[in-house]
Amino acid sequence: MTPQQYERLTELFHAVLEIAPDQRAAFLDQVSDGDAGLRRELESLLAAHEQRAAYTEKPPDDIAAGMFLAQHDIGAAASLPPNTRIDRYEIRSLLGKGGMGEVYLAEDLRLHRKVALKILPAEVAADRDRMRRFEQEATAAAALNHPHIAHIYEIGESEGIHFIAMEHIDGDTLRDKIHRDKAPLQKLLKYLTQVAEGLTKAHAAGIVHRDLKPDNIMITRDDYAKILDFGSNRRWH
Amino acid sequence: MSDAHSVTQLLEQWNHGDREALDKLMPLIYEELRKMAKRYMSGQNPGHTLQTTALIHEAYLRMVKQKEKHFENRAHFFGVAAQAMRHILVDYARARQTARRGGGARPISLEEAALVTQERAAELVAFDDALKELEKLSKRQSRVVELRYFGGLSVEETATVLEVSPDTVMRDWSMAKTWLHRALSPAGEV
Repeated sequence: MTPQQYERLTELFHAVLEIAPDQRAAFLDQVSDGDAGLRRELESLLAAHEQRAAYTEKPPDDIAAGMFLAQHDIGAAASLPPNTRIDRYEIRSLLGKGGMGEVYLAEDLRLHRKVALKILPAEVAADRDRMRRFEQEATAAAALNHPHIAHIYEIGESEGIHFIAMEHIDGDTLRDKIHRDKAPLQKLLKYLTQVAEGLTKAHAAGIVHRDLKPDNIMITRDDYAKILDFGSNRRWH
Repeated sequence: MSDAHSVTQLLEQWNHGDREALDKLMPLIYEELRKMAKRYMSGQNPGHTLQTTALIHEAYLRMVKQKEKHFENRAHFFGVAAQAMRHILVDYARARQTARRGGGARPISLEEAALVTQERAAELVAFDDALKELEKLSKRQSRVVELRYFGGLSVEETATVLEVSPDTVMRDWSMAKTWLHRALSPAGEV
């Protein structure tokens, strides 16, 4: 079909729709004037018109949402493989990831100890203002020295990757203690008392946590509570 | 020159008949939509409340200077954005459609797989192919579909972009929908 024929088809299609259904056959005879192909076209278009054109009623929002999720996944897939060297740290495994970046178990090759290495998202690292604020907070938090606060060892940068090296705590989250282990209330209260002590110290130093929750409180193998992630919880928006 | 300024100026130029302005606008808007998509993803509850129309509207608010928001500029901006949105979504759907389990393709999250099944992706790709066929028959009708379907433009906005009457837009839309529906229906079902 040529564009001209299609234009004519469009005109006839609209013309047929104006005609009462019981008179359409006669109208089609007249306009197609023996052109069986044209008549078939019009008839099949009329039939299609009777049905709901379901597809065009449904905006492609689900496709867009899926795509945006996928872009997120692509970002997540760019994780650092084991044995990647960052400054004096060597990546062992991924501990977790969230809006603030990925946290890896890594080994400090100089001091031969395990650390939790948090890698900042590239978009945060690229923003000078955010980085300045982040460094201020991390520096303040690094000065905190308390048995119930996970220690920040250093913040640094290596080949464009910004990281925070933190004390690695071998244990379970408070969430696991509550829900999985069903720890007795007395024990939970002991943990929370320790958390409160840690918070008191931090607040006295003018530092707030911003994201305190059972996932951010670790219970060590020796049964001590430690607050994670001080100084790195500024929302990035 | 700030982005908002250049976008506004390009829209003005296009308004005054400068077709090259359109070629410069497209990549700017395309990039902005991509960036916004990324930002949506860093939110708490990605995707679920997303609307392509709302996304384009937000891009417009971000990219066009406040006091320059004439109706014509708005319509033209949405016109380009609709085209960019079509490319972005169809590219994605094509990639999603051919994604194979364990075939070295990137992993797909359960959430993403639930939202966009391979069938749904195939549906959009088929729709895009049919739209390309329609374009050979009537460029204007295919543009009407692009603007209304991918850009969420109203009949009036579509008419402004295409410089035709709203009545023409409605007739084009009706015919195009019918033609596409027939093209996408398995043979013998219509």
